[in-house]
Amino acid sequence: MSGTGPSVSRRGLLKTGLLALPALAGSRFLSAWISSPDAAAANAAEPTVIATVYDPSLHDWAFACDATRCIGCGLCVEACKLENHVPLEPELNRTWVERHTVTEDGSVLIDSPHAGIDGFPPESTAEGAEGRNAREAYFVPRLCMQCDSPPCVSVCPVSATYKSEDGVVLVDADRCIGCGYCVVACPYGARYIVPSGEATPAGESGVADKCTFCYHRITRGQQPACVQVCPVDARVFGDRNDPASAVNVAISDERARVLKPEQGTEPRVFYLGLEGEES
Amino acid sequence: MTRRESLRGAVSRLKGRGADALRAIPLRPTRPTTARGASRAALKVAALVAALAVALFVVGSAAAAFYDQYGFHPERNARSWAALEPSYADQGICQTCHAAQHASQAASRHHAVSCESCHGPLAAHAADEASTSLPLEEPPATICATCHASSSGKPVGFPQVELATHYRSGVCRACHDAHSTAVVRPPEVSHPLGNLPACITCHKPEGLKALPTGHERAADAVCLGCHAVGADGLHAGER
Repeated sequence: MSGTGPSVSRRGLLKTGLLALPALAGSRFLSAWISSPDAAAANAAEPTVIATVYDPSLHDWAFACDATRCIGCGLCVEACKLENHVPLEPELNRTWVERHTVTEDGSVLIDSPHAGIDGFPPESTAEGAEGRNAREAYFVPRLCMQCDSPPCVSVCPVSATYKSEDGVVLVDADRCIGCGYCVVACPYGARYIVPSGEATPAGESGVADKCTFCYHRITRGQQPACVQVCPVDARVFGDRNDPASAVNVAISDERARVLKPEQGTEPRVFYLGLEGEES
Repeated sequence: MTRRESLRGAVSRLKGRGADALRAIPLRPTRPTTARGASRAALKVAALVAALAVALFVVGSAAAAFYDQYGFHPERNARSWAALEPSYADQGICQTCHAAQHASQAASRHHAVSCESCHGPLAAHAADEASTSLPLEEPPATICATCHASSSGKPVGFPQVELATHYRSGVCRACHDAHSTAVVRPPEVSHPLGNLPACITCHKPEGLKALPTGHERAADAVCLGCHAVGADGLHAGER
């Protein structure tokens, strides 16, 4: 810069710049705070209220499904969809019911028309079931196993899915990029990607969704919606930290099994009445 | 002049110039000499500290806001899941208004069945009293069939009916009270098959077949004694 140039010295320019930068940045944050006080208050207030009464470190949730009691009515599937705004497409579910038909040669045929939401027709609709004699048949409620070693958490590239302190595996929809790795990694088929036009309770399409054990209910001391509406107590939910809880009684039964134990996922969902399926 | 001498001369000239240059720089006084100077210096320091503090605060809050938005906050996300509103209420809330139904249900075989299993979530009823997922006053028979239609897979001993042959299938509540589970059984009528006339070609004693359109009123008094056909074309029992 020569002496005949504009009368802005290098020092002056730097000074102005140094002063202007924080001022600009500051105004941006101030405007952000001012523009959304309601949203900020709404977001902050409610979780705090829950947090004051609910301490995840005090709980160790578990779930038991009794295949000897389930009648395949599908009320649980319906209640889950209503409670959790699950898309109504039959293939997108947080919970569903299967009918296992054991044929005379010991093979297990599985049918689950419309995820069982409308109940089941008198005979199995599984491929190859027609005309075969069934040795026995029973209904198997299905949901996320809330594994203690969850493969979905391991494969998530952005740490969007995580295990809460109380054992429930949750998805942070704000972090989820919808890559679908977790959907593929889950050995139980318990996850789906929310299609466009639909919304999760967390509010977005294109993210992974799954059973949360009805986290908003259990943190208020309620039962999950599927357990609440089950007319035959085929679903039992409770706290393993409470020795007298119904779920503890159920899972301490020697018949209690987990699905796919060979996967090493350590499920929190246990099954009664499936011991005949072990190979 | 040897090379060494000329070098020495150059060095001494340079040294001298350096000393002159040093002397030429007006050194800032480290301590102000007047009171006005002292206050100006203090103001400058204060302004510098304030500017630094503001800059630190802004940079810090920017970093915090960035972490806030893009950082890993499982506890906070779990709280946001916990903050969702339930739609299904706890068993027992319904009885505050519907005490009679609750009392009869609590003593019945349906005592373990939640109100909302049949009537749908309470939140929907609370939002709009008239619209529940199932009509409160006249639930359709399909809700009974949801559990009680016979199918393979249901536990032995669970009450199931063959809908196709069950007596007057589709109007469950004409005989069954859903809350108390009390049953008004239809009269046992013996149908001596040998004496029955043409009607049984279509109408088997174990169940009624739907009336075809243009069904002609049978003239046989033996059947019509009980199964009279009214002006609406329906048998008395079907109305």
